[in-house]
Amino acid sequence: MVMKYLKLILREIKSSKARFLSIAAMFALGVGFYSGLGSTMPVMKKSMDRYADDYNLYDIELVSEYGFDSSDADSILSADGVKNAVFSKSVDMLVNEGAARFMSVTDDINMMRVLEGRMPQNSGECIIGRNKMNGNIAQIGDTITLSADNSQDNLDMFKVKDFTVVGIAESPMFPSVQRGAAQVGQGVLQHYVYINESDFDTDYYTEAYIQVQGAKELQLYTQEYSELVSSVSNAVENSGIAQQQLDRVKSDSQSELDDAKAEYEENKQLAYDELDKAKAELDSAAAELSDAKASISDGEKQLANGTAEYQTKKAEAEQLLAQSQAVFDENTEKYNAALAEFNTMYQYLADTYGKPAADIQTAAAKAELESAKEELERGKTELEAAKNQTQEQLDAAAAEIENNRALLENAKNEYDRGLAEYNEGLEKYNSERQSALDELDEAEKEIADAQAEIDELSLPEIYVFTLDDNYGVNAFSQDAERVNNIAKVFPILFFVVAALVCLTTMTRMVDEQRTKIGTLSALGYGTAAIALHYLIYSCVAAFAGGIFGIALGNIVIPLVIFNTYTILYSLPSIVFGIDAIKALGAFAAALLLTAAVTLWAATDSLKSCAAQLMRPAAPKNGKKVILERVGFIWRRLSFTTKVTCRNILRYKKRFFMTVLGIAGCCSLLVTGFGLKDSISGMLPVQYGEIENFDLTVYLLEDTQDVRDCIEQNSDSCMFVQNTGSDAKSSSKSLECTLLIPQSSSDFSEFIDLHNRKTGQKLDFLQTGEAVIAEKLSAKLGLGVGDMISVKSSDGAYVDLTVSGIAENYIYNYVYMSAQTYESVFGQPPEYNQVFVKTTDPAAAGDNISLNENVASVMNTEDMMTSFDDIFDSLNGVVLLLIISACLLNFVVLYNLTNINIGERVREIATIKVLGFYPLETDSYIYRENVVLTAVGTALGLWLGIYMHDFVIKTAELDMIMFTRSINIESYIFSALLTFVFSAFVNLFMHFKLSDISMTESLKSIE
Amino acid sequence: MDFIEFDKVTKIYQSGQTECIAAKDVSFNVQKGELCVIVGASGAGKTTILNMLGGMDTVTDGTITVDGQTVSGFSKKQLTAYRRYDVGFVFQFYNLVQNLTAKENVELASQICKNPKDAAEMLELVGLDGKENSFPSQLSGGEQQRVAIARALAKSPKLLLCDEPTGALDYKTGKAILRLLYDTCKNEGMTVIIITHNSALKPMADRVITVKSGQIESMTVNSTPMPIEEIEW
Repeated sequence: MVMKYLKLILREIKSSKARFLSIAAMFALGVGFYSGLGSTMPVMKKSMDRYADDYNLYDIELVSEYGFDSSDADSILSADGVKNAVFSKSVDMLVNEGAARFMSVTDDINMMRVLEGRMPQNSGECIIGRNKMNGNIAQIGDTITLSADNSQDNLDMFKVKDFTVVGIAESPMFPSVQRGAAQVGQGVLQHYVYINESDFDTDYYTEAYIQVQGAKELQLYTQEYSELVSSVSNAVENSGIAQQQLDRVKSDSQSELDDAKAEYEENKQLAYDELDKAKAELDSAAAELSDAKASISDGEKQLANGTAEYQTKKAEAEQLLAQSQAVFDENTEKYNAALAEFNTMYQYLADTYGKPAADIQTAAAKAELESAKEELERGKTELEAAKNQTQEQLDAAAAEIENNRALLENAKNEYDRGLAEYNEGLEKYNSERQSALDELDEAEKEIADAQAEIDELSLPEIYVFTLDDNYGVNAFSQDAERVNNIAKVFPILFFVVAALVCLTTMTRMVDEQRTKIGTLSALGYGTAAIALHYLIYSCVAAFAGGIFGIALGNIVIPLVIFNTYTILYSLPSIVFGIDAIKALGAFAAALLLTAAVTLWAATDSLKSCAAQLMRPAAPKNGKKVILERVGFIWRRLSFTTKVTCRNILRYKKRFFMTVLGIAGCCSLLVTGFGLKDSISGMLPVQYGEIENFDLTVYLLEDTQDVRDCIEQNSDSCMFVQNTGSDAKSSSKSLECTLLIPQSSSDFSEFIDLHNRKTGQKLDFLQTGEAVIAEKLSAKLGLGVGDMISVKSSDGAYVDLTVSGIAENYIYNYVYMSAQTYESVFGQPPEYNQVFVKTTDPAAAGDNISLNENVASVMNTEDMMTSFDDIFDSLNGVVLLLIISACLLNFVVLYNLTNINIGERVREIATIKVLGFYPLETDSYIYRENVVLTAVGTALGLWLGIYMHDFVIKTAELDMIMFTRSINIESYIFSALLTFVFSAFVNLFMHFKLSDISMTESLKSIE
Repeated sequence: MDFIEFDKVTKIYQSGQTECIAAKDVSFNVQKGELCVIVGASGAGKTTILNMLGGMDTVTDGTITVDGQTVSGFSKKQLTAYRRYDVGFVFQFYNLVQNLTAKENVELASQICKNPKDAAEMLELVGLDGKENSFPSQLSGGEQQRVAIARALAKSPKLLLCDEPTGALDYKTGKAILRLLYDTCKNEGMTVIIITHNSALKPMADRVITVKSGQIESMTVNSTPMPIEEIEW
């Protein structure tokens, strides 16, 4: 019985391949899409898990306030569940190419996937992370140099400042082309570089990476994994590592301080000794000085005595001389008197006696006189000699005195100099002593402070991060979830259409086999047995289709989507896997649906009795259509149009199904093209219509110098503060970017704030008000007049009134005036960005970037290019949509036309007999298809708007809003493609039509 | 010259390995304006003859001439044109398009030929005035066959081929249809060929051709056809 049944069914399948295939294909599509899209998220997550497992990615990352020491390993490893741990050093540095994270190569954990070259071995070598988005930082053999713009502290962390690239690799720590936040530069990490640990010049490690026992066996992103990791991270936190670090740091610091203290004491002694020595020197100098002073005063006394003696001697000598003079003078006078007496006598005698007598007479007297004169002469000479001698003696005495005086003067001067020197020395000594004492005091105080600090040291803050906190690992899972959201909608469409296809096909089959059913019924087969035949037939078709769909869908769809995402992520390979529950669910749903639909189709016929079934089925009656009641239109319609109208409305089920199938196809196309429009459309709007400037300058510091430089190189410029923040409403929170322009008045020349829906221009001059980006408004559910809470730098939230919602696509901006910022945040804005308008962006950019206070300059056009690259990745998804649309369209139209032809073979044969040319015959049938395609397309275009809206809302990232509008070209393309697919199916069916033999028209009705 | 001439026409159907000779050396002729009955048992080959005569099937051998044209040598396109302009068909099961009214069914044929007759007139001719806007399902079998005849006549064909025109009709209605065909033949001067397994119809024909096992058994010309009303079966 069973064998017979199977044989019967096999024969049945053989004789109706097209019918069997169309049911199978429809369910292959439905089940394939559902389970394929459904398994994409698990496949993506599994692939990431495999990547993490293969390269020993960490489960827990520890960062401590105090850094790590190799001695911390013991306490980390002793924590329950820790399998392995390594330490690494890392720091974010500026290099010429942007911000890069320099990390030490670790063993066993976070292994690198070397793509080219090798791992660094020698000092000064490095291996770089591949950068698919911006291009690699350097090539193998190039040198990377740490920029001099880095802070000295950071530069001091390196022994080597130039690194030679020896390899290019990918690290599982950075699976995304976006590397997350950097501590330097613009805050965006662009590159990562691994170097030897010994090239760091620090004695502590910055991170510890931990692998958890048993985590490898669990899958990433699962509840079990999270629970295991969080229990282990608790264990690590409670392992006493903090206390140990505290103790270590305390004892290290204490011994350091003790050393310092000892040194201080030593220095103190030294200082005192030195002071004492200086003091002694000074004292001896003072003694010498006082000796000198005493000898000077002695000399002075002696000099005075000498002078007095001299004076006395001089007076005595003068007195003596005067006496001698007086004697001499008396003698002279006596002589002169004697002479005069002689002369008188002589004269008298001569006069009296004549001369000779007188001569004789006077000779004695004269001789006497002559001897007196001689005596006088002798006395005079004696006096002269005495005078001279005395003078000589006096002169000698005076000279001696003079000499002594000069000597004394010298001594005096010397003494004065010595005194001055001494005073100076004393002063210096005093001041030096003071400063030495001060210094010592200070040192003492420092030591005391340090001691206090050590005494006050508390447990270090230890930050525990898991892979959930890893930017790329987390973003990948979010992307996978997004795919999953899309997976929830599309397959439903396919399932509905599959059910409809199955229903019409089985109805047709049962209709065709009326006589057979009647015969079987008359032969005594039960209703159930007959129904089973059709049930098995359709279920076999659904089963075969389902198996095929699951097999193909689970390979092709995850592969296409995974490959699409490999543009944004660097995962080495895809790990296939079937979400068994989803696959079986889809499979069961397909079978149940088929069974239900088949039973429904068969019920009608089976209700009739055998005799009725043996008779030909009454053909479906012709009916007047509503349009006929509008006589003036109906009369104007051509004959064939009328036929078409009637036929379309005659088979409502088919009408509904065809329209739905085509609408599904068309809406998929609209979604696909629209997705591309939305994504590529937002860039020109964001960077052409909303943001109207050529360069964005990132400032290191806002100085007059840099302002002058920028003003010289631009037509106009606008200084703004641009800071990342969080915004929240009562229910949700979202990352946002605060943008505060320096001048509100001409801000609109740089950023055109307007509402997308109303086109109304927005301003934000009122204090306390802010204009927010549309995405923020949508995500946070905020409208004009609502309050938005924005996080300030100290972590507190401040409230602002939303005064407008601005069209914006990239980044969630909160715009406010400088006054608002100052009044709400309590501090003036710090301008860190400049929007620049210029006619020659390249030249201006080069000039501005030379300024030392400029961190970097971004050309708006370059920015668009880099975004473009990311969005190209979505082309794969668009292609997937278009292909699935084609498949859907083909299967539905093929099946329906097939049924249509099958049901109307007699009619077609008849009109062929009547002499319709092949083309006329085709159009007799196809005109309906054209109308149905048109109706389906129109419906599809309309449905596509909603589907597109849903898809972009699920697919877009938090910081991006895709444009909501679809280009008119996309509608046209979608409609055209739908028609092209239909035409293709019709061409396919043309051969079937020409195969219909005219002799069919002569056959009796079965 | 004969209006219709079959000259040693042979038709062999090839299905896989087996050959099936449906007609062998069939030769006959029919004059213009005659009512000819081709009679034979089921499977004798009458439908094959009709198919070939109607341009629905090609011949394996021999020639068919209709009104001076060699139909057996026609291309596919020529055959379609031949069916379109020269032949009218009446089927056993009427083959009306269910979705079209009586008038529209007639128009289906008339709109594709060169000198169509007015559909309404044709329906009046076959006695269906007042039923123009009825759908086939609203008409009786006889009425449906009348629509089919009207459809065939509307093309003003040279030749009217009827395949068991009464096969699905009751006795009385069948007679009325035959009457209509007879009148058409006589009044319009139309050559009418009726294919039937019912030998009772022989007396009404101008010419009777008997087919048996794919061959012509006999061909007789009846100089005094009997009115249909007098024939009983």
